[in-house]
Formats: sequence, structure tokens, C-alpha cells
Amino acid sequence: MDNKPNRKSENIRRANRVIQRRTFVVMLVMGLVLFALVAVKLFQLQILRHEELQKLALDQQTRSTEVTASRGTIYDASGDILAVSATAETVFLSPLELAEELEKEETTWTKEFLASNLARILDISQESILQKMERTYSQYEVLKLRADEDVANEVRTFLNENDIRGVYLVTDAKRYYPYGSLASHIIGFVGDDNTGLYGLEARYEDQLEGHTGLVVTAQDVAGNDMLYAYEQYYDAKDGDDLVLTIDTTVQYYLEKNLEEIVNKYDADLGATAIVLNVNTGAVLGMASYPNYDLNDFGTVQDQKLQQAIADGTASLGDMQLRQWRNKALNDTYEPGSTFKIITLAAALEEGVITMDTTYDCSGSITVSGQVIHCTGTHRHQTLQQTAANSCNPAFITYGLALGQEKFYDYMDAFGLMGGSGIDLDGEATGIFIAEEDFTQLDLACYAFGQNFNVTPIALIAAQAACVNGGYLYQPYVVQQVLDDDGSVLYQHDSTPVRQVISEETSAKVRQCLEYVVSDGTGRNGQVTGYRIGGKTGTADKGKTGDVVVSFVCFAPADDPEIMLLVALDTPAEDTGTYPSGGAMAAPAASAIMSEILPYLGIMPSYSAEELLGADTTLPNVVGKSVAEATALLKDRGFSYKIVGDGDTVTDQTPTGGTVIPGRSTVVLYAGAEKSDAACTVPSLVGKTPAEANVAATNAGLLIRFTGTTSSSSGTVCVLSQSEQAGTKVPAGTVITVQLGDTAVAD
Amino acid sequence: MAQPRSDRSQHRRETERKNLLAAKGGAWDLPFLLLTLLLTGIGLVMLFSASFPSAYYESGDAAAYLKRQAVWAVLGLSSMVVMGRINYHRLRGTVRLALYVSLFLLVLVIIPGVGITINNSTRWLGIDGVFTFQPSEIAKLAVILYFADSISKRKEKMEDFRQGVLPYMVILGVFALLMLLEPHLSGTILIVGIGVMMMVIGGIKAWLVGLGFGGVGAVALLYVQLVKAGIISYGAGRILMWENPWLDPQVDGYQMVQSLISIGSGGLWGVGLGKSRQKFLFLPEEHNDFIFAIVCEELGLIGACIIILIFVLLILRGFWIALQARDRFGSLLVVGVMTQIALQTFLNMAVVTGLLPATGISLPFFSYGGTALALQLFEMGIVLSVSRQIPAPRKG
Repeated sequence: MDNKPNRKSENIRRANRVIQRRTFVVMLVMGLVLFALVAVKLFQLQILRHEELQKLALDQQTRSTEVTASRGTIYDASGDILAVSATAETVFLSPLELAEELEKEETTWTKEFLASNLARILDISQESILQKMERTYSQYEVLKLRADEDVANEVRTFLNENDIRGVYLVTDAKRYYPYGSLASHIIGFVGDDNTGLYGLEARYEDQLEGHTGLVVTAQDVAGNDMLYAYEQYYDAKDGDDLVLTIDTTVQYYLEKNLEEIVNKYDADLGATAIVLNVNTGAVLGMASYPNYDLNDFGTVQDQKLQQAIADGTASLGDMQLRQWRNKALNDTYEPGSTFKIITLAAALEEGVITMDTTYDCSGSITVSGQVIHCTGTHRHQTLQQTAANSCNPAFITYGLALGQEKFYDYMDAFGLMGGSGIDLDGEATGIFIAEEDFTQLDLACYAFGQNFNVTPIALIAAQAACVNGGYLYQPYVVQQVLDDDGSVLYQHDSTPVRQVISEETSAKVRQCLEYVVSDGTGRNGQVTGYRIGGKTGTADKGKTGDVVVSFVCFAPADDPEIMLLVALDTPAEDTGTYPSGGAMAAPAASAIMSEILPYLGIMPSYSAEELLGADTTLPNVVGKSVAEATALLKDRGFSYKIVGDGDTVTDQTPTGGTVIPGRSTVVLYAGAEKSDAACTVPSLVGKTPAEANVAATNAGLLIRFTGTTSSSSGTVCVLSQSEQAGTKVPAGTVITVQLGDTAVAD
Repeated sequence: MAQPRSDRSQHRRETERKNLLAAKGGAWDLPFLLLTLLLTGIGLVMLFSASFPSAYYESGDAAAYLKRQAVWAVLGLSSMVVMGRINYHRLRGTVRLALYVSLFLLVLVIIPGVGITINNSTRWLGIDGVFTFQPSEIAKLAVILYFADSISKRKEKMEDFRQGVLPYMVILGVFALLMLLEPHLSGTILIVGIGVMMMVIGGIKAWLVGLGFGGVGAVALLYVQLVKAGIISYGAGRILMWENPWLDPQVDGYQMVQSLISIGSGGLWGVGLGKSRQKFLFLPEEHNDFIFAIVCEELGLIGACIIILIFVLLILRGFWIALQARDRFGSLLVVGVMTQIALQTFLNMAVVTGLLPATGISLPFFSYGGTALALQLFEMGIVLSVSRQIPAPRKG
């Protein structure tokens, strides 16, 4: 009886204990274990994966607008702008947004209306716009990259007038090259994304590009700005500017003359020319042909290349690559006889020859059983004469006297093996036989510049070292890098890489090379009033009969400041001019030098004979008596012709103050009316200097001779004239004619 | 012999009942009250922060959601105070009614044309846009009340399968069936979870508890494995997106990816109160089921953990009250209520953080939903009522 309730209450107590125990367990699980799991998971997400997830968040929450940094400007040596960035606007559309707009009832315009108008304004096809509008998954389809401002404004007006949303303009930068094709190979160009692709634009990309700025704005899922401002600015930093050693004037003369001879001699593979400051390595000008317009770099400009594309023998891409190549350093060539300068310098330095060395040329020489012919049979020659005649056996002998090892060492010391190291992209490396395989016969060929390849830039750097006192400089085109405040970040330091030969040896080399121009194969390279040293070169290209003709010269010959190399690749053989460096390249070099030397402030020093023909200022004699006037003109070395029979000079041609060549004939009017009629320029090319003078005077014009005046063979004649035959010019105009010898052998 | 005995026990029961009802009770449990008020306050602040972009875009009034929620919070707090002052034993008289009413409402909601359908689920009753509520919320309370009453009476009989398990299984089965018809999976999980937890604590056989949890665990594991093996396709998307939402970040995985991005971008300190950027329509449901993601983004790991800590303290205090309760009924009532809060909080956070596959469970005190908040506060009132009758510790 008592047992039952006891057991029952015992059961209840037990049940209560179970409840208590289980509640406690549930409490721990519900209150602690479960939430510990959540906390661990949160730690994983918010700490361990924080960066990854935050990046995803920022990607979708922010819209960053780029603030384009202005790309650095490229200046020439005198501060002229060669490349500059200007504002342009890129037009793009958001197909997604346009599709949404088109669905709206209040939209009044149609797809076709929009496309046709944009096509008209932007000068692109309507189909391409409609195609882009189809891509409704996209929010960014570019219609026109970097449209000019007036075009951009027209688009803006059109969009506003028709209340169109979904087409946008973003400010961008466009690269302009004010000089077009001038120095195109050096400057290079930028691609669609404004990054440099060629030339300095590519080489100095890091300095020029600057840092794009960013404006980051928070946006909601629809792309609208969030309710509260969240904006972050990262300033754009404009790119650094480059100041080049290139002088636009020098470059202009270089390119003008190069283009002229390429056309005149129909050089199949173009040409290159370099003007180097021999005492610093600064490149004052560097031209390559064919060239192209930097503002339209995709268009093939050269007619020959265009023809090849039209004929289907070459693709547009290949021809573009051709015209973009800088032959001065992207290509190598066999230098031929201009390389004898190096052989001469090394042999003189090593003492294997002296200025008194003589050589008897028999017309050929046998090396290791191989007969090598000369351009002629020069008989007995002094050292200077061997250079002036460009005598191959003589130079082979000098080379062999040096021996393979020494010769090879000099080529290395002159920087020919390693390349010039110029601060431009894509410098090719020369091609040489390995030193261990370098035989006597190889040496014999190398001694007169055959059987190996160098770049023109590496060659001219080595040749400059031969005449500047022996110092090898690394050629360069960037003088300074300036930041956007104009402070100098980098200044080129012209310290010689090494001294290869002594000052004395260098002086001897100069003496020999001046003789080459005054009395040898280089006489077409003479420039009136200047002492020029130089060397011609005509290199065989394999066994094809094709040649590379070149001329390297420097001035003043006694204390060189600049050096010029002109090389013409594969000129035609049927132009009437013998395809040689002396006949083709030297006159061009002379023409270039006669223009750039005065420009560079290198003063002419005339010989007594030259002084007579030197430019003189014509005095004003109007108002003077005829007797007085004629006396004055005579005194200055001018001839005169009197028209009319008065006593007083009423007018004169040319007018007073004009600088005209000495010994010119001045027309004095004594009462007679000065004729206004224009004179027709006669054809002077091919005439002897005397014939040309008569023809010019008869036409009422004055004449100025440049180039060589002496010739052993007596074949000096006018090679070119500054005014085309047949053009009308005012009376008294000075026609400059280039004299030269068309039959130089090397 | 039976008569007087019956009279006597009846008399005793009635006296007991009178005593119970007459008990004035002591003070409310202050820590529990303060934690409840704290959570309600923080919840409202976070709701405002999370909802203002949506509110602004939808109605132009950035505080639109806050205003409605605040009204319900006031109503809820009032009901909590009233309930807290009422002797919880009086609830015993309402348990059957509550059960029938909630069953009636659950039936009503699935009758076509009566319930309000959102996202293919018919879970709401009322007038759309003015006043709506989920009958399942009421059902949870009804189950808590009925189970507490019933289980507390059965005492040791709970060990008997036919008496202690079967009837409750049937009731839960009916509720679950009705809610699955809506369909409302998360509500079903919650109501079954609450019911089972009360049965467990009520004293059903230990081996049944083990079998039950083991069985559910095994089925869940098996299900996940079968889905992964491609044998079962029902709910496969949900499982796959849970495993790796980045498989389809634009459509199926969008909600989950956005939630993880929100949480992750918060980092240790958060982007700052009110400064969430994910709430600008990137994260859907940012003021409802996924409000915790915004909390994590704005307040960081530190802030989120503080809020979790407050929840934990509330739950621990709640269960402490259950342990100290005057009788089994009070204890079970509190267990039911706290289980609901704990399960719902955990499941919500687990879903938002990707611990568990996505299902729509709101976060107590935080998520937008006026009736739910008011009911939760009313339930807090029940706990407070129980806390008032905790016997004073015996002296000596």
C-alpha cells in the first residue's frame, strides 16, 4: 500500500531528473555548440576569405571611371614637338541600355534612325552599328575610338536633340605627330590602347604613359550612384617628356636628300642615313626609307610597296612591317669599303703600317690560294693613295699584317660584335664568323668590309671612334627625360665606352680620309668651304650583282664634329650613274652636309680660290652713279651687265642685301624698266660647270656650285639642281647645283 | 472506494489549481528582460539600416519598413508585458483552442483563393499590403502550448511509446503535412524540431531519442549523397548551390553568392553601421531572411559575434529559467519557446553563412515581419511569466 505511491513518486522524481538533465544538455547544444559553428564559419568568411570576397564586392559595387593621363610629349633637340597627346573622345554604346530604352513607350526614335545618323557622323557603316546593338548582353561596344572633338560634339548634339540614352562619349587621348613622317622610325607610334608599339613610343613606354587616374563611384545594382556619396579619386599622373638629340632641321635635310636619291637611283630596298655627333654619340638625324606617316601608320606610303600589294606579291601586313623597319638599326648589311677605315685605324694603331707605307697594286692578290681582285690596277701607291683608291689588295695586306686575333679584337673593341647599344628597340646584332673559325681568307675579306654584317648604327659609332681621337661612344637619341613639371629626371651622360685607338692614330686616319675626299673616290663628297674626310663603299650582296653603296664622311676633317653615313640598298644599274658609293652616295652626302653644316653653326673656311666663289652680300647700288656702282661691284668680285643708257642706277637684280655667290653677274638698270617677267629655269643636269654657268646667266639666273670641283678624269658635271628645269622663278634667283663625278669606281 | 478517492484527488487537484492560479509571483527575470529589449532594439536599428535602400526605391520613404516594424514591436512589447504579468498556468485553459484555431487557419490558408501566394508559396492570410500573417507562426505557439500542457501531465508515462510518442507524432504529422502543402519547408522543420525537442525533454525513452536523431542524420546524409550522385533530383539545385554557389552566380546561386560577398566584405570591423553597399539591391531579401548578412557586412566579425553572444546569453538564460521553473509545465513552455528562438536563430545564420542549404527562415527580432516579431515578444512574455514563479532558493 505504501510501496505504490513511493514507487510512483520515485518515478516522477526520476522523470524530473531526466527533464533537468536533458534540458541542460539541450541548453548547451542550442546555446553554445550551434552558435560556435556559426562563429567559426563567420571567421572563415570574414577573416580568411575577406580579401577575395571584398574584391568581388567592390567589382560589382563600384564603377571606376578612368581619368586618362596625358602621354608624355616628345621634343626634338631644339624644343620642337615631334609627338604630343591631344584630347579626343571615344564613342561607345550600351546595347543593353538601348534595348531597354527602345522598349519604353516614350521613346520616339528607332534603331535604324540612330544607326544611320551615327554612321553618318562617325563615318562608319550602319550595319556594324546595328550588329553591335544586337549584343544586348553587353554594356560597352566601341563605335569609334578617339574621335576628333568636332565629331564628338556633333554626336553629343545629335544625342541631346533626340533625347537618346545609351550612347556615350568618354574622354580619351589621341596621339598627334605634327611632322607626319619626319623621323617616323625613331619616334614610332602608339596602338589603339595608347601604348607604344614602335620606336621611342615603345622603348620609353614606361616613362611616356604616365599613370591613369581613377574615380571610383559606388553604384547600386542598376548602375546608379548610391544614395550617399562614395567616391575615391586616384590622381592621374601625366607621362614624362622626352627631349631628343634629333634635330628636325637636320632630319628634314637628311630625309629630303635620301628620298631624292632613292628615287633617282631606284634603290630597290630603300636607304638609310645617320648623322652622328662624333664627340658625344648623339644622333642628330636618322632616316630610313621607305618611311611612313606616323599619323596614319597603317597606310603603306611607298609606291613600290603599294605596287607589291596591288600585284599580290606581298601582303599589306608584310609591307607595313617593311615600312616600319628602321634600316639604320633593325637591318644589317655588308659595309664594303667604308669598313677600311676600321682596318686602317687598327693597322696604324698596332704599327703594322705607317704613313710612309707604300703598296704596289697588281690588280689582284692571292690569299690562301684564293685570288681576290681589285677595282683597278693601282700600281705604286702611298698609304693615303691606297685609301683614296680604295685599293682592296693593299687593305687585305694591312689586315693580314695585323693577324686574325688582333683584327678580331679590334672589331670587338670598336663595339661591332655587341652592337651599338643605342636606346631604340630592335637593334640587330652583327653577323660574324666565330673567332675560332676565323681563317686568313676570312680576315682578307673582312679587311675590305665583305663577308660579315653589321648595322649601320654600330658601324658609324665605330667609324666615329676612328676619327674623334679614338673614343667609342654609345649612340643615343634621348638626351633628357623630363617630368610633367619640366624637371630633369634623366640626362644622358656621354662618357666614352672606351678609347680604342690613340689620338695620334686617329689624326693619321683623319688625314688619310680627308685625302680620300680631296683626291680619291670620295671627291663627290666635297663641300665647298669645308674640310671633309670620308670613305666610299660599294659592297657586293652575295653573288647576285646587287650592291649596297655607301659613303661615310665627317667634318671638319681636322677636328671632326659630325659624321654622316649614307647607304643605298640595291640601286638600279641602268640610271646612267655607275652604282658605287662614290658616284651615288657621296653626292647626296655632300648635299646633306652643305645644308646641315652651316645650320649646325660649323663655320666654313674657304680657300683663296673658293673664296672667289663664296657667297657674298650684294651691296645696294641703286641711286649711285653707274661708274660708282660698277666700281663697287668689281671690288666685291661681281660681274655686271647694264641695261639702259642713263647715268644713274635706277634698279638692280638681285636687290641689294641679297647673299649671292661671288663672281655672279648683277644686272644694273640705268633708266630702263626692270623686267617683271619670270625666268624659266633651264635644265642644268649633265652640263659641265662652265656650261651650266652660261645657261643660268642667259636665263637671267644666278648659279651656286657645291660639291667637288676637281676631277682627275675630267668627268665632273651637274648632278642635280635646286630648282626643277622648266619652273618659273623671279630673275636673279640663285640656283644651287650639285657637282660631281658620275664614274667613281668605289 | 473509487468514488471518495476520486473526489479527494479531484479536490486536491482543484486546490492545487487554485493555489497555482492565485500565486502572485515575484519579479521578472531582469537579465532575460534586458536581453530581450536589447535584441529588439538592435533588431530595429539593423532593420532600418538594411531596409532603407529597398524602402526608398520601392516607396520613396526610406523608413517605410522601419515604421511598420516599429508599430508591431510596440504591440509585441505590450503583449509581452501583459503576458508577463499573467500567471502562465492560465494558459492551460487555452491550449486546445489554440491547437484547433491554428489547425483551422492552416487549412484555411491552403484553400485556393484564400491564402496569399508569394513566390509560389501560399503561406499568408489577411489583406495583402495591409495586414498579413503566417498561420504557421501561430501554429508554432499552439504546438508549444499544447505540448507543454500535455507532456507535463503525462510525466513518467512519456516513457511509454503509445502514450508518450505516438499522439505527438500524429499531431506533428498533421501540422507538417498542412505546412508542406503551402509549401513551407522551413516552417515544417521548425515546428517538428520544436515538438521533438519538447518530447525529448519531456522524457521519452533515451533509445528513441538516439534513434530519432540518428535516423534524421542518416537520412539527411544519404539524401545529400544521393543528390550528389545524381540519383535524386528533388532539391538538387538547392544542395548543389549550397556546395558551390559560384557554379551559377547569376541565377540559382545569386542569393547565396551575394550573401557570402556581403559577409566576407565586412571583414573584422565591418564597413560601418549603415554603410553596407550590398543592401543597394545587390542582396535580395536583405531585410528579411538575409538581414544577418547585412549585419555582418556593416558590423564585421566583431559586431556579428557580439550579436550572436546576445542571442546566446538570451538562450542560456531562457534555459536556465526552464531549469529553475516551478513546475514541469512552466519548464516545458520555456523549453518550447527557447527552442524555437534558438533553432530559428541558428538555422537562419547557418543558411545565410552557407553552413546549411538555403531555406527561408527569418531571424528572430531582426527580420522584417510584424506579426512574427509580436508573437516572439509575446513568447518572451511567457518566459518572463514563468520566471516570476521561480521558487526562492531555500534558506539554510
